[in-house]
Amino acid sequence: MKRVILSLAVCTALSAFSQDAVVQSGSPALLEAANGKKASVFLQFMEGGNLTFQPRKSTKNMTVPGDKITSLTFSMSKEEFETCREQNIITSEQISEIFAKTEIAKSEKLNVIFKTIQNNISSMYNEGDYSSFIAAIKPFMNERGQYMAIENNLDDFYFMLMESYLQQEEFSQVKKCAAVLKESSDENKVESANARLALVAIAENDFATAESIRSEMKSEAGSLYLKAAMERAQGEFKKSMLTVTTIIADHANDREWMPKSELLAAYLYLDMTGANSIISTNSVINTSRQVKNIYAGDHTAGAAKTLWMSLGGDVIEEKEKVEKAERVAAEKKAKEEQKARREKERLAKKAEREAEKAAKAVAAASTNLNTTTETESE
Amino acid sequence: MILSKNTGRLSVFRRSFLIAGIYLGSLLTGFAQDAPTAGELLQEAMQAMQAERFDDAIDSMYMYLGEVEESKAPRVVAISQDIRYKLGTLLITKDRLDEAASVLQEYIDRPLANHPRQAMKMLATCYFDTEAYEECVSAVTNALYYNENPVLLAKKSTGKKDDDDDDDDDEEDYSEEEVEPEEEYNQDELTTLHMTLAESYYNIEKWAHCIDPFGYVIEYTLSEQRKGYAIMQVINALIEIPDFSRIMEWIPQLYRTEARFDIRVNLALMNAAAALYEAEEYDSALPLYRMILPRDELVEFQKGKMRNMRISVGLPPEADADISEDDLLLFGADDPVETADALAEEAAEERPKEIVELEKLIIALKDLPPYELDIQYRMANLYKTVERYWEALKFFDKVFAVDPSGEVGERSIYEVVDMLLNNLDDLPEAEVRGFDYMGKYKEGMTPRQIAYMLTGHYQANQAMASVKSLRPYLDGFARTNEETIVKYDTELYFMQAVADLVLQKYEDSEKGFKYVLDEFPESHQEANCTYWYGMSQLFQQKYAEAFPNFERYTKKFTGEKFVDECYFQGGICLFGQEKYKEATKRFTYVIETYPDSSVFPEACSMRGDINGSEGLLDEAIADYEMAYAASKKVVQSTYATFQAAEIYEAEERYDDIIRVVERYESEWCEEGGDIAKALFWIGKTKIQQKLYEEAVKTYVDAIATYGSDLRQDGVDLMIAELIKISSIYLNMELQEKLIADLEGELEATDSITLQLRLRVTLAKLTDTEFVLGKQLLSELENLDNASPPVLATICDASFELKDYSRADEMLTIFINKFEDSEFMRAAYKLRGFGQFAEKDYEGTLATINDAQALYGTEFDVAWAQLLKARVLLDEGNIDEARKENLSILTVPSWRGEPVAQATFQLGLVEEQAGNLKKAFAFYQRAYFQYKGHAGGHWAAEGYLASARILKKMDRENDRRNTYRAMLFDPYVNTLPQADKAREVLGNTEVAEIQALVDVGTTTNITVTVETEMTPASEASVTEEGE
Repeated sequence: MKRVILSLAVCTALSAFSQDAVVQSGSPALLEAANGKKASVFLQFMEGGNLTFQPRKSTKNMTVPGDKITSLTFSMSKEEFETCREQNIITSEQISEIFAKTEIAKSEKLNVIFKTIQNNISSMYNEGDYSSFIAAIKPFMNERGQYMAIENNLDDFYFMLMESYLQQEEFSQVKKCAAVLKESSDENKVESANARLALVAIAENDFATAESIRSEMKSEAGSLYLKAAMERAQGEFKKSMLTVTTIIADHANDREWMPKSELLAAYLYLDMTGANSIISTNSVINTSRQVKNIYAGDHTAGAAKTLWMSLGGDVIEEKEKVEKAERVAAEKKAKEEQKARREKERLAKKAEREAEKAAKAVAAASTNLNTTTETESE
Repeated sequence: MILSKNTGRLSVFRRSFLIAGIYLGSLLTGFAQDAPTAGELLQEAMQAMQAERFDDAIDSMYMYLGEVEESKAPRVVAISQDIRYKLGTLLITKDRLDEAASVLQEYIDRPLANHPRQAMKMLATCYFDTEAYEECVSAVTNALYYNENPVLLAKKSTGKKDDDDDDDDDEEDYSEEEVEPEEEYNQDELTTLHMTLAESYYNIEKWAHCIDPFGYVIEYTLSEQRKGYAIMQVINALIEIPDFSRIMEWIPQLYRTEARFDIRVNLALMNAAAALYEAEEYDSALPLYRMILPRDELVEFQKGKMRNMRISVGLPPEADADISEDDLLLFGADDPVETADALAEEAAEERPKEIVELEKLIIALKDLPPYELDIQYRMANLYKTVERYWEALKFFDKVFAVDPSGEVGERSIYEVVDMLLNNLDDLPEAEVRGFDYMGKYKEGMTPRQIAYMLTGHYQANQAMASVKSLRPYLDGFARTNEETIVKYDTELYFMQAVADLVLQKYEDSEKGFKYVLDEFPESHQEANCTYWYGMSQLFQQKYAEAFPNFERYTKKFTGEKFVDECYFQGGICLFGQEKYKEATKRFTYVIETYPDSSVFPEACSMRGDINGSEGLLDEAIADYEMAYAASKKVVQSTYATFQAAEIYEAEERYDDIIRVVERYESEWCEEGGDIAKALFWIGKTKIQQKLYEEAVKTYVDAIATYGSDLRQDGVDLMIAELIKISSIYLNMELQEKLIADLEGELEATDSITLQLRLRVTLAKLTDTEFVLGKQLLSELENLDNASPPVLATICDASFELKDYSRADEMLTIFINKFEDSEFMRAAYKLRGFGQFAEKDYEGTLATINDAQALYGTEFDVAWAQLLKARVLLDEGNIDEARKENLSILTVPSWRGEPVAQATFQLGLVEEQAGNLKKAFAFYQRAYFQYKGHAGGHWAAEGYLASARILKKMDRENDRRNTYRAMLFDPYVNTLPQADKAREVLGNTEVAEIQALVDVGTTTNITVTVETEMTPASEASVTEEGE
């Protein structure tokens, strides 16, 4: 029965696509121009900073400068939905759950599904599962990637894709992504792209390029991070660590560079361990654990967790938990025993007092008796 | 969930309301003809409202409600409910919240309320603002319940008029009115209600209850600030519960908000972080600490916020500021002056509640003592606790930089140095930081603590020379009588003296311990200082001076740990002063009094030595036996065993030697006993027993067995002994067998140490030491595996080659690894001559002093004294050079070659002093008396030097005669120096002399120069001549 319901939900979702299906080439998107006007268009290509598109139900190409467009909103195609479903990026349960919600308008449900898919994909990234993330997001970016210089509802994912390529050491792909983002009029996007190019340069031992990019960085924390990364790559671990500690001390609330810097600190501690080193793996375990905990939800936390577990951090933590529980239990037991002892003492004293009281009463009674006797005698 | 009422608080107002109603009723009864009707009252109320005369409207509404209180007519009920709602609203506007709450409750409780949701919401606000949190919880709970489950109201329109309410005939029929059903709360209202509920629970400390409503706010609020605040409150509640395990799930969310810019959040962060820190929840505490903003930054941010708030409500941006034209423009005033006044007036009277609250918070924030340093110090501590030392270092540094002489600053610099030393292994940086601090801050505890820490580190790492580097800083510290500081000073100076002691600078350590005794009398280190003061003197062989210190210790510190030692060392002092009887008595006292003491075996051995020297061999043996039996350390058993062996050897009791040595071998083998030395003794005994082949076998086996261990110096003794046996006792065949056996061992072993030992042994046996030494000099890049004979062989070869490049290295190895080795003298010699070649006279003299301190006047250390004289002469110190050379002539063990050289050197001294005649006399003596020594070297030099003097004296004939005599002298005429004579005399004369020599002619050529010898030199010469 459940299976039937799930199938129905999927069919309903697919039918929602078929109703809207339009046979027109290009990537469908909602375009918002700088003047606030919105239009459904089919994007054709991006070249030299200019966007070429066709209005809906038209084959006429129109070209406008990219900076005249406020944003693009991409929706999901039927093929993409099916791919995601087949690859289990969204489960049938999730689909049926969405369709079961009466408070969501039918027209809105596809957007909710798309959002759910995005959340599921970003979870892969945040858990540090970069290869799965790349596999999942890449189909969405094959056509759309070229438009990422313009603000859009998937640009965060494009940035994540670039970062994932970096983590996977697919440097040519990083360069491609960065080249697109560098066309953006958004300075932050450009700087982020440049920073990744610098990191690629470092990985390729091209320190001159890295330094050139670093010197142009507007973000002080970002500039310091690149400096630390260069120092580490050149084997100057202590110097690198001193740079990282400057970031930690002076840019503690920089949400972009702090997680990376702290993760770098964990790796630097690892670099510093060794037979002749006083630095122990405790420093690595503790630093990576803190990154994992403090930045939960950020992809650095995922990488930190991997490092932490590789050094047996989870085993140690579990052991500490057990020990703590045992300690607490022992303390509790001791308290209970103490309480029982006190209670026993209290009862004993009470019994003693009562006995004394009874003895006194007996004594008093016998005194009275004597008195009486005396009186009687008298 | 059910609707609940609050009767407690409301009853007061309800009673007041009823009393007011009764009062109004009686008034109406008394003045019926003048009193307004209910309708009129209603009309008055509406008119007053329209005219914004709110107080009048409120009064009229109260009176109206009193008038219709008893009416049951639905229309009247509906109107009065409407009035109640309006009245409640007005009362809230006038900040009469208690009354408003009462009226609104009445409104909610009665039927025909058109705005129950809004009324419930307002009621909750009234309770919350009057801090009636229990009631507020009920009000919000009711509101939320009602929102989901609205009560079905009675029909609003009854369809007929109420007969009792004639007065209302003319009134509008409210009950007939179609009323739009009240809308449910929107999301914003729901969020606010949950926030109110959560805060109320929080304020009545129902920590667990507040978490869900805060959670609702966190999920639905659109305000980042509010979200952050709610998370913060959840964390605070979890701390209060306490439930630390759930805190961590909220921290990352909080970290992502801008909540830290909220003053309340910032203040709460401090408390929460501190609580988590105390609970050792470091991962949770850390991000909270990070989020705390510096006070000034936060004040500035909030001032900016307040400025915006003020402007938005039409107030001047600053409370006390004049209103600028720009501001007026912003406010849109037509008449700037008039409007400004009006605004100022208005501002003074009516500031929005939010602004007032923010002002209070800013004042509270400003009133806080500075907290930034404390936060940073705590973060530093936190990082240190979780072993993130570099981060900790950074934060401690920051704190110190801001407040170097404050309490946290001092603690921080201490931590910085401590971590650099103990956690980051960065001694150079620790020294830089520590020295810099001690140089600048000379008062109080911290500089001393840092000095103490560095001292401890140096000691632990045996870097005693570094301990001494602290002395100038200690001397710079400001002294005080404060007990703890005095204790620190005592300890630090005591450690200084200990460092000198360990560095074997006994003169300095003597001074150091005395300094502590003088400067810090009656200190906690007095007993130790006294002991080590005595020991420092003892090491310098100042027996007489040391003795009273040991005596003082035994009398003053009877309960201290060194009492037995002091008695024993006192005995050593007596022994050193050659007071053997007293010494024997003292050792006997120690033996009898302290049988369990660690010095007992030494006392026995010392008494044994005295007895042995006095010929009481049985007593000596008995003492050594006692020493051996009580030995706790290998050094004690070793000494006792081999001293006993010496005595047995003197008595030719070889079986006893074998017995004690084998006992030692079996009992101390695993304790690190010197087994090689034992085998050496066994071999030696076999030689005495003329069992040469057995002795050789014992040695060869022992060398092969123990020769891989560099520390087994007995092996080196055996090598020397083996060579002796070979040359004296073995025939050619056995010698060849020995060489073959050793070569076989050399082939068989992989041990480089043993290989080197065997190669040296073979070189000695085949007389190829120089060749091997030369080879090893270039072959061995490091000398880690070289034992003393190997090193000595290299030293000797280097000396021959005048290659001093590795002299320092080899001497250092000897000093560090083979301090007691007899072979070390070769290294001293090489080093001394190396320094002399570099004209490092100070270094040369230091090396000579060390060598002489170790070897005294032994024959093969005469070079030291001769070199010393040469150094002094090179330095132009004629008198000292003369004195040192003359002293050589008086030492019996230096007779022969050293005296020959000394005589020649005396000539050099006198020549340099301008005493040519005296110089001639010494040179002449060199070739007259010592031509048989050193292969005639000094005699030849004497000839040449004599000729040189004669030339200076312009006695050419005598000079040529000297050269002739030289060529006739068979001891020197084949030496290279003779070429000079040949060169001067010319070929013809040389050929003549040679012909004469060839036929066996001798000469009596004598050159006489009158001279005046000093009494000392004369005496020496005479003595030598004898």
